[in-house]
Amino acid sequence: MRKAIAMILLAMLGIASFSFVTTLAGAGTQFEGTWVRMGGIITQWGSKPVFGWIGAHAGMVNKSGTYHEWARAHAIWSGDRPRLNCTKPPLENFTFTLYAAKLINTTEVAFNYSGYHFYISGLWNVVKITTTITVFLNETTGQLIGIDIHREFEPIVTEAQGELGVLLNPLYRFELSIEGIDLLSGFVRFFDIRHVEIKICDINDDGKVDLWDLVKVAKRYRAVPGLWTYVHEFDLNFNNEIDIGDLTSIAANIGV
Amino acid sequence: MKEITLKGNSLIRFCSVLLLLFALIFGPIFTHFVHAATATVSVFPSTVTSSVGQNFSIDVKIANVFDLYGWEFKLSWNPILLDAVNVTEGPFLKQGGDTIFFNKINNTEGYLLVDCTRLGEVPGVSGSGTLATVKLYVEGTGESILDLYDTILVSSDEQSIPHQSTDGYGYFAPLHDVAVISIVASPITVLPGQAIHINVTVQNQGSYAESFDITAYYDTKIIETQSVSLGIGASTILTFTWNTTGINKGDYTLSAEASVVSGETDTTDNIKVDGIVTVLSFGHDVAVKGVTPYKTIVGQGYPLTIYVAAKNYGIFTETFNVTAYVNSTIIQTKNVTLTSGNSTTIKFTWNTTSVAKGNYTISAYAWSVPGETDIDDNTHIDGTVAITIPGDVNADGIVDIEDIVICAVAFGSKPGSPKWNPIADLNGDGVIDIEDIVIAAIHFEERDC
Repeated sequence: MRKAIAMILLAMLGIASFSFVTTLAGAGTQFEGTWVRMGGIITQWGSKPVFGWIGAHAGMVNKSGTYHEWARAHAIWSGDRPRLNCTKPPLENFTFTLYAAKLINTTEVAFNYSGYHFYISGLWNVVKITTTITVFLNETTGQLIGIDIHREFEPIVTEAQGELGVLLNPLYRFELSIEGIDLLSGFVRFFDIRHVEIKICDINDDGKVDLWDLVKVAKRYRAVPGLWTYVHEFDLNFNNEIDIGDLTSIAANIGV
Repeated sequence: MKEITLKGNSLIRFCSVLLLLFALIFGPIFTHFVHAATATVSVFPSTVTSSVGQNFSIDVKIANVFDLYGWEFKLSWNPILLDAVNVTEGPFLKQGGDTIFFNKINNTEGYLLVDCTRLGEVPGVSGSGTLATVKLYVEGTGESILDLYDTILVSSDEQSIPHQSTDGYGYFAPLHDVAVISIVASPITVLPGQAIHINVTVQNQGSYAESFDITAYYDTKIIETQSVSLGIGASTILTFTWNTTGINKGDYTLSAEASVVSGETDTTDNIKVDGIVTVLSFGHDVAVKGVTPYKTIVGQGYPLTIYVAAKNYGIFTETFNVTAYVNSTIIQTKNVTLTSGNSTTIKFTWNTTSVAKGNYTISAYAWSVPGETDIDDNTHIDGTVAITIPGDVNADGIVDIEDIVICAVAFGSKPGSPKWNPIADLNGDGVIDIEDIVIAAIHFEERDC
């Protein structure tokens, strides 16, 4: 059984690699721009096993003869995998710690650079977030009726130089090295490269931003990492909470 | 063919089985129809009429929806005729809790886009109601579809809710609208025979040139009528001259009325009532113009303030006494000095301690001044005041829950506030507060024997 699954995964990776190579093969063609979106699972922090998510979104655009590139990237991780990756509402109070890194200033976005297939460098902020969740349960049924969230933010490094490198075929690995903290690494969950704009707010990836995207994120409103409702991809402004800012970002792009 | 006959219990059993089968087969279908009655999104009212230069509003309503979590629609119109002013969220979706509402208006192309969703892991809302209200401004004459399109309804499980949408339609007519803007009289105090010049400003607020009449009045009597022609948006000042020869001394209210032009719908501003002028009498003449008690029901032992308005209609400055009465009993006498044509309000306080419960007539008398011949208006009688048990706010002879309720309804109010009710101000201190409630409570269930 395991062998069969492994074969299927290898086949999928092969197809994905092929499509990537094909896409890069067209890189000599004159495009208005190239957009990249990637997501990954963080598995290692230095020598420690951790769990977390990384997401990046970049563009290299030649608009009316003016070239500019930009990138957004964010990672959150924790040593408490069951808590960060939980899928059910909590039924008791808890406190847990996670870390979040956010790219705040991009200096380089490139393909085939510094030994990686894809590369982003820039300045990063890293914070430690201690979240305390207090649950309120129905005394009769024991069902969850309310949650109080308290979070404390402790800066770990600020405006530190960092590099995100992605290795594709055949490894599908990434590394995020930020000065002042240990190396983060893991595997690439998806890597999407297109010559049409990948809209940040197109949550369901149907090519347009509309009510469907808004509803998807609205349903996770006020979710934070550690709660079952938090989805990393929906945290569009990378503030470690699905909030009004994310909804506003989508709304601003509806119909655009 | 074999004949099947069912009798008695067999027939009942047969019918029961049939009913059961019917329920099993069609029950789910009926249930489905209950939920699946097609939802509709529509413009309400479906037909609107308005005039150039006016705002009008339409609602976008939803009906028969089940589990609505989020909605989106676009509405378009002829941009030459209309501009959207604003869009506001209706009450339907937020009846279930917090929502977030966004809209984008493009008046260049003539459309708007509106989105709204509930927030969090909550169910959708079912039923019928208003999703949004759109206010539009009419810029031009003509007709326009109010096209409701690209409507999306999403359920709490992120499924599309099937629905139908219905457009609206608008007819926009040119506007006929004239108005009286202001009335300014000069002088405002005259001797009989003197002329009063009244400047009336009128304006054509419509989209046609108009010819119409303006009539100036003192009280309900016509002073003069003039005709005027005004272009679109134009205004002018008409001067009316009121010759007061033969007019009795007194205070007169001035007004002006613009005749309604053909097709005019907004006629509320065709009439303007503004300003009082006084016609004096030759010689000495003082008068009491009014007597107003602070309230008409007073708890025994609590003071009542009575306001008396006195005026000098003569041509000389006068110093004279004004006396306030309850029935034939003097409350107080006060001395006032008034220049010609001026008036004042004098405050009297009636101490009701030891005054028997019952109804009293209040009045005031301005003592005649030397040389005064018209003394008919020196006395003014103004209704009755009831002296009751303190707390008997409604003067029904008992302090009961009805009185408490009247105080409670007006609780916290002061003169001028919407809830103000002076009879609930039991101690007469200008505010209805706990002290008034305490008075009523102390005397609760007391009654007139």
